[in-house]
Amino acid sequence: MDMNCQDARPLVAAYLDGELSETRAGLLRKHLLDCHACRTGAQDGKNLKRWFSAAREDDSASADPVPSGFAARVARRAFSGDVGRSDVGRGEFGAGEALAPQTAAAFQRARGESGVLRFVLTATAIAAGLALLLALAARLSGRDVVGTMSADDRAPVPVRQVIEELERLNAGGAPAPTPTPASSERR
Amino acid sequence: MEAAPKEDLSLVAETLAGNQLSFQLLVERYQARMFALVRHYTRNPVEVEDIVQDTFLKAYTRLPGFQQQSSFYTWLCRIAINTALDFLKRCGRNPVRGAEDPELSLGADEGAAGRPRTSPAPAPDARLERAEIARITKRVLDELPEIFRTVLVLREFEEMAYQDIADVLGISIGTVESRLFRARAKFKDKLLALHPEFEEGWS
Repeated sequence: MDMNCQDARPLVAAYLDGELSETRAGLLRKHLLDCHACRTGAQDGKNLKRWFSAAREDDSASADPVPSGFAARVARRAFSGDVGRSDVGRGEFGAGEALAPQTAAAFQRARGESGVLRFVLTATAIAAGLALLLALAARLSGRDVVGTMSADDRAPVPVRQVIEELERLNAGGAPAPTPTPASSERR
Repeated sequence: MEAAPKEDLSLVAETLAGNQLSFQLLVERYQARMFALVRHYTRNPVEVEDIVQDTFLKAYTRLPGFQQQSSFYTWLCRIAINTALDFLKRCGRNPVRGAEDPELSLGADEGAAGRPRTSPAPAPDARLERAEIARITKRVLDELPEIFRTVLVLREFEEMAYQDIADVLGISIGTVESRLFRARAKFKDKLLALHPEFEEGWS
Protein backbone atom coordinates (compact mmCIF):
# COMPACT_ATOMS: atom_id res chain seq x y z
CA MET A 1 0.00 0.00 0.00
CA ASP A 2 1.32 3.43 -0.92
CA MET A 3 1.96 6.04 1.74
CA ASN A 4 0.32 9.46 1.57
CA CYS A 5 1.84 12.80 2.66
CA GLN A 6 -0.06 12.87 5.94
CA ASP A 7 1.43 9.53 6.96
CA ALA A 8 4.85 10.33 5.55
CA ARG A 9 5.53 13.70 7.16
CA PRO A 10 5.82 12.57 10.80
CA LEU A 11 8.02 9.64 9.75
CA VAL A 12 10.69 11.70 8.03
CA ALA A 13 12.50 12.64 11.26
CA ALA A 14 12.42 9.06 12.52
CA TYR A 15 13.78 7.97 9.14
CA LEU A 16 16.67 10.43 9.42
CA ASP A 17 17.28 9.22 12.98
CA GLY A 18 17.56 5.64 11.69
CA GLU A 19 14.59 4.63 13.86
CA LEU A 20 12.20 3.27 11.21
CA SER A 21 11.76 -0.40 10.63
CA GLU A 22 12.94 -1.55 7.18
CA THR A 23 9.33 -2.01 6.06
CA ARG A 24 8.25 1.52 6.99
CA ALA A 25 11.54 3.00 5.71
CA GLY A 26 10.95 1.26 2.36
CA LEU A 27 7.44 2.71 2.06
CA LEU A 28 8.71 6.18 2.97
CA ARG A 29 11.59 6.02 0.46
CA LYS A 30 9.13 5.11 -2.25
CA HIS A 31 6.91 8.06 -1.28
CA LEU A 32 9.87 10.46 -1.20
CA LEU A 33 10.83 9.51 -4.74
CA ASP A 34 7.40 10.61 -5.94
CA CYS A 35 6.69 13.58 -3.65
CA HIS A 36 8.60 16.83 -3.97
CA ALA A 37 6.97 18.40 -0.86
CA CYS A 38 8.01 15.53 1.40
CA ARG A 39 11.52 15.52 -0.09
CA THR A 40 11.72 19.19 0.91
CA GLY A 41 10.58 18.15 4.38
CA ALA A 42 13.37 15.59 4.54
CA GLN A 43 15.90 18.25 3.55
CA ASP A 44 14.47 20.44 6.34
CA GLY A 45 15.10 17.66 8.81
CA LYS A 46 18.68 17.24 7.61
CA ASN A 47 19.31 20.98 7.91
CA LEU A 48 17.93 21.10 11.43
CA LYS A 49 20.09 18.18 12.50
CA ARG A 50 23.15 20.20 11.52
CA TRP A 51 22.31 22.82 14.16
CA PHE A 52 22.10 20.13 16.81
CA SER A 53 25.22 18.27 15.76
CA ALA A 54 27.26 21.50 15.86
CA ALA A 55 25.89 22.30 19.33
CA ARG A 56 26.60 18.74 20.52
CA GLU A 57 30.18 18.90 19.28
CA ASP A 58 30.65 22.26 20.91
CA ASP A 59 29.29 20.87 24.19
CA SER A 60 31.70 17.97 24.27
CA ALA A 61 34.62 20.24 23.33
CA SER A 62 33.95 23.04 25.77
CA ALA A 63 31.94 21.62 28.68
CA ASP A 64 33.13 22.56 32.15
CA PRO A 65 34.76 19.62 33.90
CA VAL A 66 32.93 17.87 36.74
CA PRO A 67 34.16 19.30 40.08
CA SER A 68 37.01 17.21 41.46
CA GLY A 69 36.06 14.70 44.13
CA PHE A 70 32.38 14.96 43.23
CA ALA A 71 31.70 11.20 43.07
CA ALA A 72 33.46 10.45 46.37
CA ARG A 73 31.60 13.28 48.07
CA VAL A 74 28.20 12.15 46.77
CA ALA A 75 28.82 8.52 47.70
CA ARG A 76 29.87 9.56 51.20
CA ARG A 77 26.74 11.65 51.65
CA ALA A 78 24.50 8.91 50.30
CA PHE A 79 25.95 6.39 52.76
CA SER A 80 25.66 8.85 55.65
CA GLY A 81 21.88 8.93 55.18
CA ASP A 82 21.47 12.11 53.12
CA VAL A 83 18.41 11.46 50.96
CA GLY A 84 18.54 14.55 48.77
CA ARG A 85 16.85 17.87 49.18
CA SER A 86 13.41 17.42 47.68
CA ASP A 87 12.76 14.25 49.65
CA VAL A 88 13.25 16.03 52.98
CA GLY A 89 11.30 19.14 52.03
CA ARG A 90 14.12 21.64 52.34
CA GLY A 91 13.34 24.97 50.75
CA GLU A 92 16.41 26.46 49.17
CA PHE A 93 19.17 24.85 47.17
CA GLY A 94 22.73 25.93 47.68
CA ALA A 95 23.90 24.28 50.90
CA GLY A 96 27.36 22.87 50.68
CA GLU A 97 29.43 19.97 51.85
CA ALA A 98 28.88 20.69 55.54
CA LEU A 99 25.32 19.48 55.17
CA ALA A 100 26.07 15.80 55.72
CA PRO A 101 27.50 16.06 59.26
CA GLN A 102 24.80 18.59 60.13
CA THR A 103 22.15 16.20 58.94
CA ALA A 104 23.64 13.36 60.99
CA ALA A 105 23.84 15.62 64.06
CA ALA A 106 20.25 16.73 63.58
CA PHE A 107 19.23 13.08 63.32
CA GLN A 108 20.95 12.31 66.65
CA ARG A 109 19.38 15.38 68.23
CA ALA A 110 15.96 14.38 66.97
CA ARG A 111 16.44 10.94 68.50
CA GLY A 112 17.34 12.56 71.87
CA GLU A 113 14.34 14.88 71.65
CA SER A 114 12.02 12.02 70.91
CA GLY A 115 13.27 10.28 74.12
CA VAL A 116 12.41 13.33 76.24
CA LEU A 117 9.06 13.64 74.50
CA ARG A 118 8.25 10.02 75.24
CA PHE A 119 9.04 10.56 78.97
CA VAL A 120 6.86 13.71 79.18
CA LEU A 121 3.95 11.97 77.46
CA THR A 122 4.17 8.95 79.78
CA ALA A 123 4.35 11.15 82.90
CA THR A 124 1.34 13.17 81.71
CA ALA A 125 -0.66 10.01 81.11
CA ILE A 126 0.15 8.69 84.61
CA ALA A 127 -0.77 12.07 86.20
CA ALA A 128 -4.07 12.16 84.31
CA GLY A 129 -4.87 8.63 85.49
CA LEU A 130 -4.11 9.54 89.12
CA ALA A 131 -6.29 12.69 88.90
CA LEU A 132 -9.16 10.60 87.57
CA LEU A 133 -8.77 8.09 90.42
CA LEU A 134 -8.70 10.91 93.00
CA ALA A 135 -11.85 12.48 91.51
CA LEU A 136 -13.63 9.13 91.63
CA ALA A 137 -12.52 8.56 95.22
CA ALA A 138 -13.76 12.04 96.20
CA ARG A 139 -17.13 11.45 94.58
CA LEU A 140 -17.46 8.08 96.33
CA SER A 141 -16.70 9.78 99.66
CA GLY A 142 -19.66 12.15 99.03
CA ARG A 143 -17.82 15.47 98.70
CA ASP A 144 -18.88 18.25 96.30
CA VAL A 145 -15.87 18.05 94.03
CA VAL A 146 -16.92 20.79 91.60
CA GLY A 147 -17.79 23.25 94.26
CA THR A 148 -14.68 22.70 96.33
CA MET A 149 -11.84 22.70 93.79
CA SER A 150 -8.89 24.26 95.53
CA ALA A 151 -5.18 24.49 94.85
CA ASP A 152 -4.10 24.66 98.51
CA ASP A 153 -4.19 22.38 101.52
CA ARG A 154 -6.68 24.45 103.52
CA ALA A 155 -10.25 23.39 104.13
CA PRO A 156 -12.18 23.73 100.89
CA VAL A 157 -14.30 26.89 100.46
CA PRO A 158 -17.39 26.67 98.22
CA VAL A 159 -17.19 28.75 95.03
CA ARG A 160 -20.49 30.53 95.73
CA GLN A 161 -19.10 31.74 99.08
CA VAL A 162 -16.01 33.19 97.35
CA ILE A 163 -18.16 35.08 94.81
CA GLU A 164 -20.36 36.51 97.55
CA GLU A 165 -17.28 37.74 99.43
CA LEU A 166 -15.95 39.42 96.27
CA GLU A 167 -19.30 41.13 95.66
CA ARG A 168 -19.33 42.44 99.21
CA LEU A 169 -15.89 43.91 98.67
CA ASN A 170 -17.11 45.57 95.45
CA ALA A 171 -20.16 47.05 97.12
CA GLY A 172 -17.91 48.45 99.84
CA GLY A 173 -16.30 50.84 97.30
CA ALA A 174 -13.12 48.94 96.59
CA PRO A 175 -12.31 49.60 92.90
CA ALA A 176 -12.55 46.46 90.83
CA PRO A 177 -10.63 46.44 87.55
CA THR A 178 -13.28 44.35 85.77
CA PRO A 179 -16.77 43.51 86.92
CA THR A 180 -17.45 39.84 87.52
CA PRO A 181 -20.28 38.31 85.49
CA ALA A 182 -22.37 38.15 88.67
CA SER A 183 -22.02 41.90 89.34
CA SER A 184 -22.82 42.73 85.70
CA GLU A 185 -26.06 40.82 85.98
CA ARG A 186 -26.97 42.74 89.13
CA ARG A 187 -26.60 46.08 87.28
CA MET B 1 45.56 -7.76 31.02
CA GLU B 2 43.26 -5.10 32.46
CA ALA B 3 39.99 -6.32 33.97
CA ALA B 4 36.85 -5.38 32.05
CA PRO B 5 34.81 -2.63 33.70
CA LYS B 6 32.03 -3.97 35.88
CA GLU B 7 28.51 -3.94 34.54
CA ASP B 8 26.12 -1.36 35.98
CA LEU B 9 23.93 -4.08 37.44
CA SER B 10 26.88 -5.60 39.36
CA LEU B 11 27.71 -2.20 40.79
CA VAL B 12 24.05 -1.67 41.70
CA ALA B 13 23.96 -5.04 43.51
CA GLU B 14 27.20 -4.26 45.36
CA THR B 15 25.87 -0.83 46.35
CA LEU B 16 22.74 -2.43 47.74
CA ALA B 17 24.97 -4.83 49.69
CA GLY B 18 26.58 -1.80 51.35
CA ASN B 19 29.63 -1.14 49.18
CA GLN B 20 30.16 2.63 49.07
CA LEU B 21 32.97 2.38 46.54
CA SER B 22 30.69 0.63 44.04
CA PHE B 23 28.23 3.50 44.26
CA GLN B 24 31.10 5.95 43.82
CA LEU B 25 32.08 4.09 40.61
CA LEU B 26 28.51 4.41 39.32
CA VAL B 27 28.57 8.14 40.03
CA GLU B 28 31.95 8.50 38.30
CA ARG B 29 30.65 6.62 35.28
CA TYR B 30 27.63 8.88 34.72
CA GLN B 31 28.48 12.19 36.37
CA ALA B 32 29.69 13.94 33.18
CA ARG B 33 26.55 12.94 31.27
CA MET B 34 24.32 14.06 34.12
CA PHE B 35 26.07 17.43 34.31
CA ALA B 36 25.62 17.85 30.54
CA LEU B 37 21.94 16.88 30.73
CA VAL B 38 21.13 19.21 33.63
CA ARG B 39 22.92 22.12 31.92
CA HIS B 40 20.02 22.15 29.47
CA TYR B 41 17.75 23.26 32.33
CA THR B 42 19.96 25.79 34.10
CA ARG B 43 23.28 27.37 33.20
CA ASN B 44 24.17 28.30 36.79
CA PRO B 45 27.08 25.97 37.72
CA VAL B 46 26.17 25.90 41.43
CA GLU B 47 22.59 24.93 40.62
CA VAL B 48 23.76 22.32 38.12
CA GLU B 49 26.00 20.70 40.74
CA ASP B 50 23.22 20.77 43.34
CA ILE B 51 20.73 19.14 40.99
CA VAL B 52 23.17 16.44 39.86
CA GLN B 53 24.13 15.71 43.45
CA ASP B 54 20.47 15.47 44.39
CA THR B 55 19.88 13.17 41.44
CA PHE B 56 22.49 10.68 42.67
CA LEU B 57 21.30 10.91 46.30
CA LYS B 58 17.75 10.16 45.19
CA ALA B 59 18.99 7.35 42.97
CA TYR B 60 20.74 5.82 45.98
CA THR B 61 17.65 5.97 48.18
CA ARG B 62 15.47 4.55 45.39
CA LEU B 63 17.94 1.89 44.33
CA PRO B 64 16.06 -0.96 46.06
CA GLY B 65 13.08 -0.18 43.78
CA PHE B 66 15.15 0.04 40.58
CA GLN B 67 13.39 -2.11 37.98
CA GLN B 68 15.99 -3.66 35.77
CA GLN B 69 13.74 -3.50 32.73
CA SER B 70 15.36 -0.20 31.82
CA SER B 71 19.06 0.59 31.91
CA PHE B 72 20.57 2.28 34.94
CA TYR B 73 21.44 5.24 32.71
CA THR B 74 17.90 5.87 31.42
CA TRP B 75 16.58 5.43 34.98
CA LEU B 76 19.09 8.02 36.16
CA CYS B 77 18.12 10.42 33.34
CA ARG B 78 14.51 10.20 34.43
CA ILE B 79 15.42 11.15 38.01
CA ALA B 80 17.71 13.97 36.79
CA ILE B 81 15.05 15.52 34.55
CA ASN B 82 12.39 15.34 37.27
CA THR B 83 14.79 16.80 39.82
CA ALA B 84 15.69 19.65 37.47
CA LEU B 85 12.04 20.40 36.70
CA ASP B 86 11.08 20.27 40.40
CA PHE B 87 13.91 22.67 41.14
CA LEU B 88 12.83 25.14 38.47
CA LYS B 89 9.24 25.02 39.67
CA ARG B 90 10.32 25.59 43.27
CA CYS B 91 12.33 28.61 42.17
CA GLY B 92 9.32 29.96 40.31
CA ARG B 93 11.08 29.41 37.00
CA ASN B 94 8.36 27.35 35.40
CA PRO B 95 10.02 25.50 32.53
CA VAL B 96 6.77 25.11 30.60
CA ARG B 97 6.09 28.26 28.68
CA GLY B 98 2.82 28.88 26.98
CA ALA B 99 -0.59 27.82 28.24
CA GLU B 100 -1.35 25.27 25.56
CA ASP B 101 -1.22 21.55 26.08
CA PRO B 102 1.61 20.63 23.74
CA GLU B 103 0.23 17.15 23.11
CA LEU B 104 -3.11 18.46 21.92
CA SER B 105 -2.22 21.60 20.05
CA LEU B 106 -0.61 19.94 17.08
CA GLY B 107 0.52 22.63 14.75
CA ALA B 108 -1.63 25.25 16.46
CA ASP B 109 1.12 27.81 16.48
CA GLU B 110 3.37 26.43 13.83
CA GLY B 111 4.04 29.15 11.40
CA ALA B 112 3.55 31.76 14.11
CA ALA B 113 5.00 35.21 13.56
CA GLY B 114 3.25 35.33 10.21
CA ARG B 115 5.57 32.82 8.63
CA PRO B 116 4.32 30.32 6.11
CA ARG B 117 4.85 26.80 7.42
CA THR B 118 6.42 25.81 4.14
CA SER B 119 9.51 27.96 4.70
CA PRO B 120 12.46 25.64 4.42
CA ALA B 121 14.51 25.05 7.56
CA PRO B 122 17.85 26.79 7.20
CA ALA B 123 21.13 24.96 7.64
CA PRO B 124 23.68 26.79 9.77
CA ASP B 125 25.52 29.40 7.76
CA ALA B 126 28.94 28.08 6.79
CA ARG B 127 30.51 31.35 7.91
CA LEU B 128 29.32 30.92 11.50
CA GLU B 129 31.71 29.59 14.12
CA ARG B 130 30.68 26.33 15.76
CA ALA B 131 30.40 28.09 19.14
CA GLU B 132 28.04 30.64 17.63
CA ILE B 133 25.87 27.91 16.10
CA ALA B 134 25.78 26.23 19.51
CA ARG B 135 24.79 29.48 21.20
CA ILE B 136 21.94 30.07 18.76
CA THR B 137 20.74 26.44 19.03
CA LYS B 138 20.61 26.62 22.82
CA ARG B 139 18.89 29.98 22.80
CA VAL B 140 16.18 28.54 20.53
CA LEU B 141 15.87 25.43 22.73
CA ASP B 142 15.42 27.63 25.79
CA GLU B 143 12.42 29.22 24.14
CA LEU B 144 10.62 25.92 23.56
CA PRO B 145 8.08 24.46 26.00
CA GLU B 146 9.84 22.03 28.32
CA ILE B 147 8.09 18.98 26.87
CA PHE B 148 9.65 19.67 23.44
CA ARG B 149 12.99 20.81 24.78
CA THR B 150 13.42 17.61 26.79
CA VAL B 151 12.67 15.27 23.91
CA LEU B 152 15.09 17.17 21.63
CA VAL B 153 17.80 17.15 24.29
CA LEU B 154 17.47 13.39 24.78
CA ARG B 155 17.59 12.71 21.05
CA GLU B 156 19.99 15.31 19.71
CA PHE B 157 22.40 15.80 22.61
CA GLU B 158 22.20 12.51 24.50
CA GLU B 159 21.75 10.65 21.18
CA MET B 160 19.28 8.26 22.77
CA ALA B 161 17.38 5.64 20.82
CA TYR B 162 13.62 6.16 20.67
CA GLN B 163 13.05 3.20 22.98
CA ASP B 164 15.32 4.75 25.62
CA ILE B 165 13.57 8.11 25.28
CA ALA B 166 10.26 6.30 25.74
CA ASP B 167 11.64 4.67 28.92
CA VAL B 168 12.94 7.95 30.32
CA LEU B 169 9.72 9.84 29.69
CA GLY B 170 7.35 6.96 30.39
CA ILE B 171 5.63 7.28 27.00
CA SER B 172 5.19 5.01 23.97
CA ILE B 173 7.55 4.98 20.98
CA GLY B 174 4.71 6.36 18.85
CA THR B 175 4.43 9.32 21.20
CA VAL B 176 8.20 9.83 21.03
CA GLU B 177 7.96 9.95 17.21
CA SER B 178 5.11 12.44 17.15
CA ARG B 179 6.56 14.57 19.93
CA LEU B 180 9.92 14.79 18.15
CA PHE B 181 8.17 15.67 14.92
CA ARG B 182 6.38 18.56 16.60
CA ALA B 183 9.44 19.58 18.59
CA ARG B 184 11.50 19.94 15.39
CA ALA B 185 8.73 21.96 13.75
CA LYS B 186 8.64 24.26 16.80
CA PHE B 187 12.42 24.54 16.75
CA LYS B 188 12.38 25.57 13.10
CA ASP B 189 9.65 28.17 13.71
CA LYS B 190 11.40 29.64 16.71
CA LEU B 191 14.74 29.69 14.91
CA LEU B 192 13.24 31.66 12.02
CA ALA B 193 11.36 33.95 14.42
CA LEU B 194 14.52 34.79 16.35
CA HIS B 195 16.76 34.89 13.27
CA PRO B 196 14.79 35.97 10.20
CA GLU B 197 18.11 36.60 8.50
CA PHE B 198 18.48 32.82 8.06
CA GLU B 199 15.31 32.57 6.05
CA GLU B 200 15.64 31.81 2.36
CA GLY B 201 15.30 34.96 0.30
CA TRP B 202 15.79 37.25 3.29
CA SER B 203 17.71 40.37 2.44
